[in-house]
Amino acid sequence: MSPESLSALSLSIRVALLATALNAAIGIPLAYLLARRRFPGKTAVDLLVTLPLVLPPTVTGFYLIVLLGRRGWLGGPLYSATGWSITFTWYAAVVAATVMALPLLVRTARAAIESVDRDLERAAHTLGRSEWRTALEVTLPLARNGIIAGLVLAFARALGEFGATLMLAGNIPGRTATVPLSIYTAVQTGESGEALGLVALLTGLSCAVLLVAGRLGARLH
Amino acid sequence: MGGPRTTPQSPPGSARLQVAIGKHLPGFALDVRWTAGDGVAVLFGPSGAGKSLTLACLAGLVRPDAGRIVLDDRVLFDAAAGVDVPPQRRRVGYVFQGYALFPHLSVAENVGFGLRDRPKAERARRVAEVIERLGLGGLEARRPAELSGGQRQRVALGRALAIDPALLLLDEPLSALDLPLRRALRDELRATLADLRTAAVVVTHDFTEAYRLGDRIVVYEDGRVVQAAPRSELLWQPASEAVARIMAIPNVLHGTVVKATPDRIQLRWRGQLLEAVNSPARAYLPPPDARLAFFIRPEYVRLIRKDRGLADPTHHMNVMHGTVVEEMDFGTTWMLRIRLDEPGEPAQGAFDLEVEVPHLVYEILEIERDRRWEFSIHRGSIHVLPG
Amino acid sequence: MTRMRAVLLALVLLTAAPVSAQELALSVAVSMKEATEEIGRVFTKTRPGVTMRYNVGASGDLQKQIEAGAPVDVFVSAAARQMDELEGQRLIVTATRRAFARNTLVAIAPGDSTLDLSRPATLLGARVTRIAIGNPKTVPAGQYTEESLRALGLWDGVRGKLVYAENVRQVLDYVNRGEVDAGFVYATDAATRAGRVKEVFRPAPDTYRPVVYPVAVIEGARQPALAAAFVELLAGAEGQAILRRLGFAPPPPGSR
Repeated sequence: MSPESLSALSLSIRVALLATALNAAIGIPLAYLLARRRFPGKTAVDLLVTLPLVLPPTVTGFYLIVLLGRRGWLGGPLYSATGWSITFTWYAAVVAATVMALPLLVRTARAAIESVDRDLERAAHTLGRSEWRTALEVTLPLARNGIIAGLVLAFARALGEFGATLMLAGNIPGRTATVPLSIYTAVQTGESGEALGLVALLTGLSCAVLLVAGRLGARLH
Repeated sequence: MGGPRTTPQSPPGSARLQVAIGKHLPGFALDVRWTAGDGVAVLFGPSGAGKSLTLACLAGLVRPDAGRIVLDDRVLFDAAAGVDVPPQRRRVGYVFQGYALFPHLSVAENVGFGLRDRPKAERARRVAEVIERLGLGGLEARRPAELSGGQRQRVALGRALAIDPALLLLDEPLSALDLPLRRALRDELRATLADLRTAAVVVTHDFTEAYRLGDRIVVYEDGRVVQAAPRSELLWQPASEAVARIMAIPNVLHGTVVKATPDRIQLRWRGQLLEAVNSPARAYLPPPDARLAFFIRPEYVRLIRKDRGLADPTHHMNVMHGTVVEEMDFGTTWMLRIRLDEPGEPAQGAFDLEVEVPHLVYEILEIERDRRWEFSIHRGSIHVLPG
Repeated sequence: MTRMRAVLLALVLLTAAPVSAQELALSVAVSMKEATEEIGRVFTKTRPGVTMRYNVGASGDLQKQIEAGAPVDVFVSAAARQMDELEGQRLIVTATRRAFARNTLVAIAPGDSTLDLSRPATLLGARVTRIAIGNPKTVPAGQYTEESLRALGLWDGVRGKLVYAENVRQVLDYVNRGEVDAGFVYATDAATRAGRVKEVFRPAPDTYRPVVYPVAVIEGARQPALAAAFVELLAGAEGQAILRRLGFAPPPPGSR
């Protein structure tokens, strides 16, 4: 395998891991709130979280550029203040992967949380646990398998992310060229050997991830 | 909220628990007021009447729209004053209908769940104490999935008791169990509750259970209290036909008043002139010709032996004649359905009265063969239901 | 629409229908898009019933498509290499191949940029953090840029700042949006966004091979006669006049 392929692989794994970690930090609390609480704007939040799942990745990529680009709503002030912009860096790849994979985690985790018997939570309340502690000690542990399955799915999605990554991070070898992007370039330049190697790699990785997810899903029942 | 004919309640001073709440849900309105003193209060009534909702309000899991809940001089809820103590601080032990045991924790961890803020040694001690008391020794490390129904019920009870609650709430504590187990545990539960000094409220839709477990029964129907009384009073003096229906009392019949005095009511039913007891405390004096509801307990109808000649008026009151048109074998008793020798439509479809006789009596009297009977009912066994 | 107009429209459509079965399909490099379309309009003005269908993309992509059997009649490439490869595989009608235009590389910056980028060496400055060029692997403009930067001795210095775009228009877009500090495009591309980007310098022409645009009829084209006629128009006086106006230079003598 060429050094470019190895660098793409290492980048892809780093990006996917970091994206999944971010998703866990944002997605699990979000899933809990959506599953258990009513709050103003809940429908809007639900919609927003689900959008990356149904919109074409390039559309999501476009919105990310509008938000985070050098002249973006958030990216602009950041650039003016610090001279730094997230576009064309591997952080942008992480952001793209996070946003695209978030709905998968939130939906799976939310379903798992909703399936926890609410009487268990009520029992915990009568026994002195605050809502927050009940979530930590009762609800989330019981939803654990579903949440893990969601994380695994999110990881797989982050690993294979292409469209939004291309738009926000570009396809820069050694810096933002993840495995999917490298496959794209290899095919375009007719390097079929290279492409094949990368495809085999990604397929193998995805299969492994799906197997793990399947095992966890089986344990749920 | 409990009509003018609700039986008088315990004097306010002795009421440990005072409940007066209202709650509106789509298609249902709860509006109840009752009190309970020492001992076990049972909320009894058909499904959907608001009993479990009341328990949830008592525990603080649901917020009523209006009213007040006071326990041992502690105000748990007061809509007007804006008081709503969260469930975490009410010190209420709750046994849920499905027990709601934490499946990922062991029996010991379940029981000790509410004792988190106590020092470790004290927690362990208390858990051991409760486990011992409820006969769960040896099961400490097991998970709920590995327990039998009866064991689970006891763990749920233990978990609620471990926190030394000021109020114990049990929602259909026995309905998840099968029949033989239910009877055994019912008595066990009765004994456990009697041992405790804690005020307890039990919800059930089974009258036998209500009678066995409760000292005081609050009858719910459609979000309202239709009668709150000590259990015997409920049994013999249901406040109305509606209550009798909830209790599934058989032989609820309708007649016409002939004469009413504080002690007795004479009435006409199916061509018979019957005499029933009245209750002076109830002050129920319907005018002549008024329509009247009453019931006769099936086990108090006496079939008269034919070898002893005619009925003796001092012993036998309200004598009637009829034919057995249907019979049902319940193992230890027979239920007979008798149609009176009276022209006209029978009172309950194809028959007039349901009569319960023990197996022994059935055999001795050879009822299988001999279907025509004379029978009597003591006036004390005919109970008038205020309209 | 009035009744009369409706009837006339129907008539036109009905009579036009069988004749418009004549469709000329062209694969056109991105930087030649506007020019080809304008010349195409001239082409169809004298040929009623002929419609043009343009498939625009990076020359490398277009080459791949033709190799895979894409049903196009004409290939307008932005570099000789892609055309050479097709010629090597006998996928073009060799006799029809000609060079018809030439382009120039320019360096551009966002219209509101305050950086001093007047000379190539300024790209090495610390305040220049990102430079967009076409991916040299797949975009001819990128190849030429790399060639020029190497010749100028700047390649190693700017390598870490490079952002690769999938085609020239994307480079233009990056600069236009201010995502990068500078970019390399063709003079003709810079002209399309005149207001928002500004040209900062032109690398000396001797630092890179001439950017020559070849055109050819595809072997097995469905409309060989029409295709050949279009190529003639491109190379002829009328086509050349349009190209000049859009900023293209005539092809170097002797090129194909």
